[in-house]
Amino acid sequence: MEQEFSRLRALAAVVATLPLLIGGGLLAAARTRLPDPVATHFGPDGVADDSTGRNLFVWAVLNLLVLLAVAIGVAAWRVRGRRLALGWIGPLAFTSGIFGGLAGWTALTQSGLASWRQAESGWLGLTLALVVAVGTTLATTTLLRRLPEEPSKDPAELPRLDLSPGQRAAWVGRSSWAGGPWLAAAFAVLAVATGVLGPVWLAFVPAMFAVLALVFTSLRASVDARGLGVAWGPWGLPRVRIPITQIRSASAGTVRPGEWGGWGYRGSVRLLGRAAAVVRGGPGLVLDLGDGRSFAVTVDDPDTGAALLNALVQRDPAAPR
Amino acid sequence: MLITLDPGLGQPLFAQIAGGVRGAIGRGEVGKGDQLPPVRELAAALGVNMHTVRAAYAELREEGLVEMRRGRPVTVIAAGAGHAEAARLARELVVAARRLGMSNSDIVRTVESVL
Repeated sequence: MEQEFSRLRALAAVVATLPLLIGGGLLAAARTRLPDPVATHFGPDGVADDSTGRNLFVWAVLNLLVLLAVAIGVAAWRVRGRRLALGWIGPLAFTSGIFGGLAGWTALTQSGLASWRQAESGWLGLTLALVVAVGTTLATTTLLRRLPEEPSKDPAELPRLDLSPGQRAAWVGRSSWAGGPWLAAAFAVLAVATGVLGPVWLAFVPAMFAVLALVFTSLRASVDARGLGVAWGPWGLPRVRIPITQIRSASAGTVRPGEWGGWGYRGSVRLLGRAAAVVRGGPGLVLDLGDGRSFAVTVDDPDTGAALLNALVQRDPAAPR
Repeated sequence: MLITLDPGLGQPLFAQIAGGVRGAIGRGEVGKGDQLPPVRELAAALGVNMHTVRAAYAELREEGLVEMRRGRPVTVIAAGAGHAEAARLARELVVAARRLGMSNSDIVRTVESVL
């Protein structure tokens, strides 16, 4: 099963890179027969009105095609979950179609021309590129749609608080880095020094860093029937909320900054499928949001919070199963 | 810090909240100098009126467990003495009971008889 899905990914990657391979291949093969400079812009009448040096054009375009191919390869290999695969590889396939199509069309129509000014049919090129792009995207996404959603940890197997039907509960946890206020103080001193010794407006930068050092070195996390809330810093701003309806399960674990992109608010659930609020390495809550997506927040003593969240998820009728 | 509310308990909600915080302080989940959640947030989290939470916090302030100053978050000012004291007494009980030759279940039975 696992192998079948790897093959599906590989096939989707190949389909997505086909326009790059064909277009790039045609361009590379035709490069000596192209006019120098090459027509690279076309007016509304479809006739060429601007050009670029041939070698520069070919080199730049081929590099771009290679970069796109690498991006597609990496995405197909690393991206987990059906939704994310579609989200990343879909647009990449479209881009591949556009650039590969244009590269191939340039090679075919300008090969053998005496001068770039003779190039025309700009509209045909654009249409062709769009057709290739749409076709490639459709083919790629059709393949990727057959990937399964990532399996979630069975919430039933995770520790869950015993809540009686009418009982309401809330849990509050926090985490902080002791060095935060000191760092902020250091920046504040720097801000004052800058304001006194240099232009006052320049003090704004270390002043801002002082505020950031206060805000992103402590947080308060709360679990209740609405879901998980994270409030940053001494003023509880900014805030993040993960609604209960998006949470499949929660577990207490170890949050290592390296696994989540560092300290502070990292990542994006929508774009990368992973996000975290990290103040320090160590104990934290890890949420399973379904389809391979997750959210983590560093908190002291996360066990109770995780157990409560699982109980509340279980109880919420709208929560995903 | 975990706070649970049981409307069926017969105990007023504000008293249950105060009890929950008291228990958390006693267990050491919240320590001296730590801040309690703002009234508005705890009220929204538990689905109760802000007055209910304010009443709970006021009761804790009366007992000298927290301090509330205008514009500042509610802060715990007492350490978790309650449970530590009880644990100390329990240790004394166990030492004395062993000297009398009591088994573990004897000790437990004795404690349960006075609950």
